[in-house]
Order: sequence, then structure tokens, then C-alpha cells
Amino acid sequence: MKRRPLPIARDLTGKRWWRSLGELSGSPELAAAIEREFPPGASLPPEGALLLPEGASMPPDGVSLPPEGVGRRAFLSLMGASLALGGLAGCRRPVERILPYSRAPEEVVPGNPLFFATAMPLLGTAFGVLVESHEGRPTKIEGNPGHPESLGATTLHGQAWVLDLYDPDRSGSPRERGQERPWDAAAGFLRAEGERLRARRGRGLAVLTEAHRSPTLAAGLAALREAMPEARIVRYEPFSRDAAREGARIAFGRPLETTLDLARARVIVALDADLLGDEGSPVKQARGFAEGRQLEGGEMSRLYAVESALSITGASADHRLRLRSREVTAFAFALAAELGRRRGVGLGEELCAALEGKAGGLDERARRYVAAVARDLAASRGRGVVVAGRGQPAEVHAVVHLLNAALDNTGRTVVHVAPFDAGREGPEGVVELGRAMASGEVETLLMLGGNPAFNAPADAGFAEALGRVPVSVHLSSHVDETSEGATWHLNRAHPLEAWGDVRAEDGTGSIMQPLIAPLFGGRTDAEVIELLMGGGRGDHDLVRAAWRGGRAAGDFERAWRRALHDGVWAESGFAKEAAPVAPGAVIGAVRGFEPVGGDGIEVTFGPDIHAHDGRFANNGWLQELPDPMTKLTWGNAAAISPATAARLGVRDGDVIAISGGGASIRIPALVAPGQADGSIALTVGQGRRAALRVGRGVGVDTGPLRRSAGFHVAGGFSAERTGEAVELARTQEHFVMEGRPLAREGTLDEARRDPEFAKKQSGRPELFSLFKEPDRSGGHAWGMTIDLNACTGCSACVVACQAENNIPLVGAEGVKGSREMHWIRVDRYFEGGAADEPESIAQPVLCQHCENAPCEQVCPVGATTHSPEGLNDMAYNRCIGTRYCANNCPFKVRRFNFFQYNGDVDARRRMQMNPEVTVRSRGVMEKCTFCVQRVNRAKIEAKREGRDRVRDGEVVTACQGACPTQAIAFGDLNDRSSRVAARAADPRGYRMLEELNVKPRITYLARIRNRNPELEGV
Amino acid sequence: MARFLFPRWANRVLPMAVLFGVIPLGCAAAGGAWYYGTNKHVEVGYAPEQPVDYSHKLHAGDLGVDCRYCHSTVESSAFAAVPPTETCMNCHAKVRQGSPKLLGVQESWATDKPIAWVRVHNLPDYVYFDHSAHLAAGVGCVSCHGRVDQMPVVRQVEPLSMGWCLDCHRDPGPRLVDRGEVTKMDATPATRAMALGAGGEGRGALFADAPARGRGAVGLPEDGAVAMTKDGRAVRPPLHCSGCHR
Repeated sequence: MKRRPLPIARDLTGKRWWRSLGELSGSPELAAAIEREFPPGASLPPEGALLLPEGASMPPDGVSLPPEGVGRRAFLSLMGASLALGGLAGCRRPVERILPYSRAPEEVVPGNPLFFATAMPLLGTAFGVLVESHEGRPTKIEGNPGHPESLGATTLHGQAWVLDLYDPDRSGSPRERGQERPWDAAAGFLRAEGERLRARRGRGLAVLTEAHRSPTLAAGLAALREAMPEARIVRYEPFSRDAAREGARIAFGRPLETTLDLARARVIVALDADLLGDEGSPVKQARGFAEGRQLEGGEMSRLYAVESALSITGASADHRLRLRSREVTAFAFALAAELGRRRGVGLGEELCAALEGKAGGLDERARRYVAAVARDLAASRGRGVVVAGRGQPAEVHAVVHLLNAALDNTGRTVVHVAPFDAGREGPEGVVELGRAMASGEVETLLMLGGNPAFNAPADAGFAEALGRVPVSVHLSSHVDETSEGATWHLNRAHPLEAWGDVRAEDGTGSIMQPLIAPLFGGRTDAEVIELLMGGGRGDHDLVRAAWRGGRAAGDFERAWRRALHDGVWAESGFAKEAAPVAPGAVIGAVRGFEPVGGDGIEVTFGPDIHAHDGRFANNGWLQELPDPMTKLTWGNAAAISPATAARLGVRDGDVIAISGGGASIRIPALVAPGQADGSIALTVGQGRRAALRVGRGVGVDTGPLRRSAGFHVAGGFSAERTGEAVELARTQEHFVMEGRPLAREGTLDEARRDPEFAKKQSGRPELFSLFKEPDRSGGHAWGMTIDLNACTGCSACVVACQAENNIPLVGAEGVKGSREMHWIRVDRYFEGGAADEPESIAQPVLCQHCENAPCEQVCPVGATTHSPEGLNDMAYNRCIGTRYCANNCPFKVRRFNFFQYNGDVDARRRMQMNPEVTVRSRGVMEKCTFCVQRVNRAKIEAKREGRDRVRDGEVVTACQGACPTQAIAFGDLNDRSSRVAARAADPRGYRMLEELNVKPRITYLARIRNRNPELEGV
Repeated sequence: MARFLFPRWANRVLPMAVLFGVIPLGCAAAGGAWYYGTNKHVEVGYAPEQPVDYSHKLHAGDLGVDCRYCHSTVESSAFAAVPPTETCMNCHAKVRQGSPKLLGVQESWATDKPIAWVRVHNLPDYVYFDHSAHLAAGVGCVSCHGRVDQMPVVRQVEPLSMGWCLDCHRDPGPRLVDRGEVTKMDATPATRAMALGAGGEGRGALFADAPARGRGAVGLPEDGAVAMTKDGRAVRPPLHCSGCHR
């Protein structure tokens, strides 16, 4: 299917938009690829007929193998036989059974889902969620509007969490040295071991936990410490908030948790901090940020990002400065020194001198940024936020705390609360534990969750030291790298199938309630501690005991039921702390600060977008989700800047060897615009070796390079070509838009001068229609608006859509063949002529539900038609797979099932499928339906209640519900009072490819950048 | 030796064979498949044997138990759920305890295992039929399920094909009853205006007839078909694909 792009009106702004370096340089391969809707061979089985990642033994979940080649004769005989048999079989209807309950549970109405409130612990906080349950099967996760860290939305990990529950690779029983044992045996062992250890006051026992915020587990550990005072209790998290808390310990004399209120901020300075992505409490922060960006009413905030690797925060920034991570440290000190000398800030000469002493090495551009940012911050006292990322050292955090206090931000936009406890979570503890294990001091090691053998720092030597421990017990959901080395593996219950509790970063408590009995019979952390202590209480009793306190039975029962219903324990948040700063301690810390040393290349370690720290590596939805910035799926790569790539002589996909600290890894390079020169961004969490059907062998384990010194940022590395190359499964050149002005933006000044600037960014020929267009002014007119000024590109919507609409996975090979099935994609455009220093904008693109839909005109079988309410319907059972519609779609949003992706899906995995949406078969076209199942549910509900119309807000699409910034609005455009109608009338609104007169039902609101005039041209 | 030549009439053999052989046989095969392969032939009359010999005629007909006593979710959910064993035991814990017909029910009650009923009315998986929407519109049970109150063994009486669905969606008037009478098997239609043509002729008159609601309030009929019931409700069944397919 060859196609020629129409010569459509080009961009009138003179800006240059591009998605990949190939597009920027005008590569001929890309130009050839654009002419085809699907790449050559997209419908053929890939070479070797393998869709599998290297080394995988079975097809990844949901991905079936394409058919082996079938000869013509075999085909004819098969067809003949199936015709003959098919004719007969078609006459016999399948016998279907209906199995009602014998005793019906309360409140279950077959066909109507129920929602239960629980919470997801991640990133040192907790996100309240509502879990949709169909007849006892949890199928979809929504945010809990009543929870302060969720506000009704989720992160992308929250959306994908439900898939982990049904992961068929989860461990089904305890194991002793690899042999499966029943839980009774494991419990007997734990009790006996506990008795022995109690007699020795816990000598020789070490307990290693993840960073947890569970009062129940804390109570269990406190009891253990009391009974076994000589036991060591260590906490370790590969990506924790340890540095920020340590910074608070320096600045305030005690560790404090930091929470941000970005809605009230006018100037935000993110120092290597991905505030909108995966640091702090990103959902709340993204919501606040979007609120502060509204043009109407009040001032619009300005975001400065100083960072090494391009993050979604950097892409959302008004000004982004590209610096190596260790120079960000210098930038932070220079900023503090610059501000500290100003009147009214007054950090003191001694401190400023100390800061300046450590702030060397900044170039002219960075110094101009320092001056401009300082002026801006000083001008918005009490309405600024300075925040440092988890990878920055504690001294930077201390200086940032000091700065916020001096600028009166503390208590207003930056609020400190008490930490959950004083425990540390950084690499030091686990390194010391590794040493103790290797020297034989640890006789019994109990590991509650985590996977230290995979993601502990290399100098802990954890995997080898584990072999020296006589008795080691690991509680985890999978038989992972740590379980393989431990003498006992205990299978852990998923948080959606057990009782638990968690406190969010501000202390708000949530009870986590089970949605389903444990599918694999696992237990929780608290239950294992209970067994070790010789108790016999289950998870439910333990959680209730932890929250009971001194409450009377009746009061407690009421509070408990209220907490289960609401998803938050009322008034359980920690009080605001007003701590005076201790500048003296900060001076000492800054003076003693040793910057990251070493010449050569800097390496930074961040969590992998797909796998986080490895825990989500077996989650296919996350693996196939394109990284918001690099658009990489199924794996990780070393992000290097175009200049560094040119110096090393590497291109995308070339395997490079990165060496330093006595270790070396080989990893494909990914040339990333916006990456700091001389800095390589690596992610932790891929390259798992344990037996996981989806995640094993995907990507590269970067662990060997990660040491406790240089845990996040390390210097002194070298990189060189190896001569090998691999093809990266990236989507950035798929479905490209050929340079048309699709994602539009302007500056705040432009918007003030001409609010309708976005509409004028492309030529608009006079529109006329050859069709007699129907009157659509009556009834509902479903439409959507997407505010690009709020959208950060985080991609939670993509996973939400996948979960809601039963969208299959295609695997890495499928992505390389451009067969990905996501109904909504987030296009990331770079803007500017330079490959190194581009600006970036994200634009979610889904079916536009055009009123004059071009796809409908070309379908030979009428499988895609228009509903009177403006939905572009897709009748799968009519579709014969000509793909004409995809060829004729100007937005490239139609997806074709090249293979039977849902063919032999595991029975447990099938439990997640949404029963309200058809599971599509091979040879069928599909695309966004505007969540027609949700539209119909609302309409039927209205009919039942005798209403003619659905009220505004009754239909929430999956992408809209997940969006942390509420960038997406959906509703009835004919209802003048609806939110979507108001936003569609916004002067910033424009529609894509309006000149084609296809009349899309989606209105985009142009992005606004709030430039600092001082930095114009810097 | 003279070479053998086919006689001239041999030229007609093939066309004649096609005309009198292949075409009629093909037509017969196609017609047979058309008739016997459709659900009209295959599915109407389907009356499988159930694990419990339950008689709708006795319960719904002779005893007059309302459909919704057992199929209690029909007004609130897409499914008219088959009742839990508990519902049977509400009465049969006391009534007819000794009947051998109740063995299956009692076994289910004792063992807490469901009774495996055989599904009679089965739509394809890509059809999302909703009972509650139809009841809210005033479509009675009898329209699709027939006189269940006269059936000792439930059987399918309508083809439940897409064409059959659309017949009613295009012209719902004759099947609409008062909403309070949906379970009444002999209720009479309660519409005063029949469906209008797809072109919308006469639409104005219809809406003029219902001044209290007005055109704006009612909105345009979804796909041109609309019926007005005596109590003033406008019923507009969907005719577009996503009305039933998602």
C-alpha cells in the first residue's frame, strides 16, 4: 500500500518540528518509509518466525507466534477440510453453562462492576486507587479522588499494577533450596527459627526490608526488635528519598519529609528532579503544576529545569539547561550563593563563600541562567519552589532546604512533615550488611521483598555474600535472582489480594484491602514477621491491631469501615513541621563536600520507565510502553548526546562498552537529543536473569557499574564502540506526520497579544463539502479536548487505555515491525534546528472521530460507520481486514491485528480482560472508540432513571481518568454547560489538519511557554 | 484409418451439464446452507435438558410468581441473572422437601456448588445486549422469550438474529408496554405513535404532540426511529453499530 502525502498547508510559524534525528537530517530511509502506511513485510512473520526477546523460552504473555510457513498444497487441503467440517460444525451451537452462586454474596450484581478503595505503595509514598471488580475479578485501576496523592488519577505504574496480579510467572508455593514445600512446612520452619533466635536475643539475625510505610509492618518489626534486640534491621531501596531526608537532617537537625504544593508556586526550579515523572509524589505535583499553568486568573508559573538527561519535567519546562549531573550540583551551589548575597535572603557571607568554593566549572551560559533564575526566585518570595532530585547529594538537598526557608517558600509552597520513621534507605546499609554476611556475622537473613541480589550496589557483593549465609529466607512474588540464592523462598501475596496498610508522604493512612483471594496462595511481610515471632494472626487481624490503638470497639469499627470505604483513614496525616534551619551545619557540610570525582564520562543511574528498579520487568504493558522521551520499548539503552555520539563514532543501536570502577557492560547506545554532553544516562531494572517469561533477557543489567559511591551519579567512566549493533524497538518514527503543524505552541506574550494564535499557525483554505452533512445539533455530540499546556507526556493514558480496552501486546519484534496496538499514542516532537538543544512537546493522538471521517468512505464492507452521536464506530465482526481505512486515515490511529495476539492467553491473564469490550481476533482493524462501553453504560443508566440525557461528567474515558494533569476532557459538545464544550471554545483551541475538512471531534489547546525575557537567546 | 472425431453434439455437453447440473445443484447447496445454516432454523426451538427439571409453566404460569422474583437483576443490570440456589431454597426449604425433582437443588445447597444450568438464549460474544435498557423502554419479557409461563421446558422461540433485533429497533411501537407491565405475558402495546420513517417525515408532528417535553428536551431521535408511549416517553432504540457492538 503505497501512498503519497498530500501537499497540505505547512507550518506558518517557521519553526522546525522533528521526531527523530533521521527526520531532522532528512534521511532517505525515513522518507521511503513514510510513503507506506505499514512497513514492508508488516503482515509477514518476522525472520526466524520469532517474536520473542532473545533467550526467552516461551512466548511473552499475550503474544503468540506467527504461523509457520504453509505451502500452497497444504493450504488448499486444509481449507477444503475446514470448509467441509466448518459447514457441519456451524450447525451445532455450543452448549454454554450458566453457573449462578449457590449463596449470593451481598452487593454483587452480575454485569455491574464494583469499586473498592485501596492504595498502591511506590516511590516512598502511596497512591490511593479505586479498583474495578467484575464478579470478583479486579480488572482496572482508577485513581481515588478522595486521596491526597491521587486526586483521582494515577501514574502509569498504577495503571499497570493490576497486570502484575495475574502474572502467570508468580511463584505458587514456598521453596526450600529449589524444592517446592507447602506453607505449613515453611511456617513450621519460621516458628522454630524464631524460637531459636529469641533464645539468643536475635544475635546473628538480619532483617532486610524494602522502603516501606506500613504501620503494621513497623509494629511487627518493633516487636521483633524488642524480642531480639541484637538483630540488625536494614532497609534498602534502589531509588529512595534518602538524600532529601539526609539533607533535612543537615539543615534542620532531624530528618523531615518534603512535600510540594506546585499549584501555588510561581517559579519552580527543578535541579535534576523529575517532578512530573517519578520523583516525590508525581501525580499530586503534576496536578498542582497544571493548575499553576492556567492562563485564566492569576499568574502562570514558570518552570526551570536543570538536568542531564531529558525528562518529562525538562520537556515541560519553560527553560531547560542541559548540564551534567555533577554540574547541576555546582549550579545549585552557585544559585544559593547568588541568592544568598541578596538583600532579604541573607544566607550569610560565610556560607556564600563556602558555596562559591564548590560551584566552579560552570560555563557562561549556566552562569547567566544562575543570575536569571536567582532574580526570578527573589522576585517571587514565598511563591517559589526549589527542589533537588534524588540523585543529588544530601548537601545539595540541605542547601535547597535552606534556600526555600530563606525565600519564605517553606510553609507555603514547600511543606515539611515528619518522616514515617528515622530509618535510612540508601546503599550504605546494604553494603554494610553485605560485608557482615560475607564475614559470617549473619547466620540468619530474612529478606522481606526487594531483590537485592539484582539491584543492590555492586560493591555490596550481595549475591556472593548470600551464599555464605547459612539460613536465608526471601519473601517475594517471583522466584527471582535473590530467591535463587536463598535457602528458603516464600511466595508473597500481591497487595491487591491481601490486607495491608500504607502511609502517603504526608502521612495520610490507607488500608489496603484484598480484591480477591490470593491466586497463588502467598503471604504478606507482616504475616512472616508474625510467624517468626511465634504468633498466628493473619493479615486482617494484624492490620486491625496496628490501627486499633486505644480506640473503643464501636468507634474503631466505625472508623475502620469508613477508612475501607473512603480509601483514607480520616485525619491521619502528619502535622506540618516548622523547623528552624541550622546554617552552621550546612556551612560545615558544604565545606566538607566532595564532588563526584573522576575525569572521563559521567554515568547517571535512574529507574527504568518500564521496569522501575526491576520489579515491573515482567509486566508486558510497561515493557511495551514507549518511553515518553526516547520512545524506546522492550529494554533499555545508554542515552548519549549527539555530540558525544559523534565523538565516539556511534549511531543509534551501536553497542558500546562502558567501563569504570573495575567493571564493564555492553549496552546499545541511543542518541538522545537534549542529553548533556559527556554524560550517559543508564537505567536500572532491565536485564533480569530470573525465569520470567516476559522480562527475562530484555535489556541490559547495568548493576555491575552501580556502586554505593556514585550510586546515582558517578564519574570516571569510559565508553567505546564494540563494532556490534542491534535494532532498538522504538516507535518514534512510526506514524510520523510529515512536518505538518500538528502540535502547536506559543509564548505567553503571543497568547496575550492574540489569544487565537494557534489557529493561525497553518494556512486555512476555504472549506467546502461535497457531502450533504447531517444536522448534529440535537442529541449528544461526543467530543474531547486535550490541553497540550497541561499534558506532560507521562503516558499513563496509554496504559490506562490498554487496560480498559483489552489491547494486546505485540512484543519487541512486533514493535520493530510497526505493529504496536496502542489506541492512544503520545507523540513527542522536538523543535529547533539543533540536535543537541531541542525543545520538546508531547501530544497524545487517538482517533479523532472526524465528522467527515475519511476511513468510513473507503470501507468496502461498512465495518466502520458513524453513529448519530458522532462516534466513529468499528464493528469488528464485519471487518475483513482490507486496511483501506488505515491507509486513508490522516492521523494514523488505526491499528491492525496482524496476528492472533489474544489466541492462547494464559487463563489467569484472561481474568483481567474487560468483559465490556470485545477481544479482537486476527485480521481485524481496531482503534479508539472513545470508550464506547462507558458511554453506553452512562446512557443506559440515564434511560433507567428516565432521563433523556447523560449528565456532564457521567462518562469518563479511561485516558481521561488516568491523566494526572486533567489535560483530557470528554463529554457532550451540544451541552453548552459541559466542561468539554467550554474548553473546546477556548481561544487556544485548534483541530488537527483542519484544512482537510474532516472535522475532528478532538480539539487541542495549544501549549504556552512562559519565557523569562532575560533568558531570550541564551 | 479415420481419426476419431467428437460428434458435433458433444460441444453442447459441457454447457448443458453446467445448466442442468452444476447450477441447480449449486443453488440447492447454497439455498440449503442459507436456510439450514441460519439461526432461524438452528436455534428456534432449542430446548436443552436442564440439570434440574424446573418448570416455568408451574412457577411463573400456574403459581403466578413474577419473573423478577428469581431474575432479580433484570432491571438493574445487562444480565437477567439466573438466581442463586438460595432463591430456590427460600420456598423449598419448606415446600415439597421430598420431591425427587429437588434433589439437584438440595445437593447444590448442601455442597455449596452451583447448579450448572444450560444456557438457552445465547447471543454472540460481540453483542452487548442489556436487559435493563429494554425493560426501561417498556419491552416486555414476552417479546423475546415468548410465553415462558406456558413452557414446562424453556425453549427459544425467536431467532435472536441481528435482522430480528433490527425489525424491532426500527419499529419499536408494537412491542412497547407500560413499564409496570413488562413481566405481564399478555400485556397490550401502550404506544400511541408508531415509528417514523428514517427520513424523519412527521417528526415535527410527533414532537408538537408532546409539548411538555419539546424537541430540545427530547433531542433528535438517534437514528430516525422513535416511538411515543402513552405516558409520554419517547423511545429511540439505537440503530448504529456501537449501540450493540463495542
